[in-house]
Amino acid sequence: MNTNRFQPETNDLEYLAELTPPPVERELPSGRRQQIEELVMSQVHMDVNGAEPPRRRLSGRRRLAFATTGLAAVAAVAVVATVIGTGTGAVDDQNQAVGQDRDGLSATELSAAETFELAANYATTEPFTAPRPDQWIYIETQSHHVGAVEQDKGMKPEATTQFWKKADGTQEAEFHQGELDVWDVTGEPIPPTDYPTLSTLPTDPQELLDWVRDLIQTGLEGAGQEPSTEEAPPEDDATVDGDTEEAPADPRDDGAPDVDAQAFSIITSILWSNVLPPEVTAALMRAAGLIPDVIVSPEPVEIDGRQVIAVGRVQDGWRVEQVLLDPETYAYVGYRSEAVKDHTIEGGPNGPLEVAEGEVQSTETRLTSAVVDEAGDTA
Amino acid sequence: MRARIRAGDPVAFRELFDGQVRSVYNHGYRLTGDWSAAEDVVSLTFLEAWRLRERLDTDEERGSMRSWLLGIATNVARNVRRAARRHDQALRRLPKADDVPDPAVAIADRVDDRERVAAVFAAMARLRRAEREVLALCVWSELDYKEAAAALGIPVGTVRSRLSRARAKLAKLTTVEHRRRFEKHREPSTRPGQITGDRMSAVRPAQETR
Repeated sequence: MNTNRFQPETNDLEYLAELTPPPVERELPSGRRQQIEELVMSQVHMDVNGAEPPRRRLSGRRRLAFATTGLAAVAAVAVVATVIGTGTGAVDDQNQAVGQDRDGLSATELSAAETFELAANYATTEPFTAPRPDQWIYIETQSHHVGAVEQDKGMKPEATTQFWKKADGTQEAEFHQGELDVWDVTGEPIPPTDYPTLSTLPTDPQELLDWVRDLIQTGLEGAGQEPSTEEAPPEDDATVDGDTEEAPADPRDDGAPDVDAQAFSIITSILWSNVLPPEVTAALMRAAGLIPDVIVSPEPVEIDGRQVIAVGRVQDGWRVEQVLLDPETYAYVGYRSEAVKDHTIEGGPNGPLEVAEGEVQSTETRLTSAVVDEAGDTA
Repeated sequence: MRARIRAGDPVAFRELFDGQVRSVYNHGYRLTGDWSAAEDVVSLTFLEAWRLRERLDTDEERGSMRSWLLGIATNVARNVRRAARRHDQALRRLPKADDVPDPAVAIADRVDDRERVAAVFAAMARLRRAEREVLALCVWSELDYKEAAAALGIPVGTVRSRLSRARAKLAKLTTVEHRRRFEKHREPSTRPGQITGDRMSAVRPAQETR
């Protein structure tokens, strides 16, 4: 540090410059340069306007992509609830809640991680042929949206959804009032919903969970300029049901986003709305098992007359989100969300909502899935 | 300009992009040795710069905006995949690079670059990453020590000592390398029918500058 400032510096630099002539200098090819510039600037413009303008700009498309799509509803539901109810501090009381809440939240024979491990094992045994990019993934889902939030949003209490997503990620389709709606995918939902991205997720559970956490973090940082939109990515998606131009007011107390809750929501929604290579599905299951405070319901849950295993997590202190599994094979069955406490959701678009303990918010079960050649094909 | 960038002014940020994209691209190449990786370094560097814009020093004395960007680019190039994960959402909007080679570039590549570049990278490969980075910043991107230190978030003395070490190592290596290359190029000429002209001329620019 105390050496002569100029001599050694100049010497080293000159000498190094002689030893290592710079590799050629090049311009970025102009077309590519423009693409990159647009990419960067689109991010800039999205962020600059806070969470607001991109939402307005994208909500039309997203509404198209989601509102007509029962399939995405669970993500929206999870996300709305996250936005509305985060950070009441009750999440910290989970272990206590486990002891207190009578319904399915006490000791279990298998841990959540073990249960998810069995589900992962089952997933890896399922036959799977990767779709070609021009093929479609078909998923048929039975939904029960009976909860207060869902009703408030005008979701049909019962619906069977037939949904297709193109394997190259460019298009999605759904049967809607007897007609096949096909639309281009242009929005940027969090989590990603396209097959190319999801099918190449890490197959190592920890890496996958890191990816999910990064996704949450990126979302939080992206919205970071405006404290009140800390939960921007979920909020963004929350508009997908299209019932309001305004995000629900945010009554959180301390504003600390619950990353574990969001991670569990993201993983459950990816599991639920996709058909993915077995090793990715397995990794998603195992990653879910790595999230703290995930527990197995000691009593089976009844869905459409059958008893299933429910593995879930108390989210936002008042509701449990669960992955449903077949009790014998541990095959994936669906998703469920239930209030585990009385809860009032303030600031909803239509005023406060009362949710009663034990009220099932929504249930989604997968009836069929297949890889097909055309949107509209079911086998 | 700094204030505008820190404040998140899109016009200023675009100016920054336009003014510095070439520097970042070439720096990315020098660190990765791969033009397509260098493209990734460009997109990720500007996305990171945008994300971190409030950390841009208000004090010009602490380094140019270019050095700030090159510092970010250096971090990005260290682990392109990790950086890409952070900007996964944004990157998905970027169309795939088409593989059609730019004819001008292809010719330039063929004629005078390959061996020279190969030689430089071969030498660079023997340096530690930290030394390579400092060398790329100070020698090729011509940042001064202070700027390089600020860009990398390390003390000036560390920049200095890394360069000295790089110098010492390269001095030793180049002597060896020089001899090896010289012998290698002599050898073919002893074989009948071997055209050596191309190779020799391709190597020459590098040798001339020595």
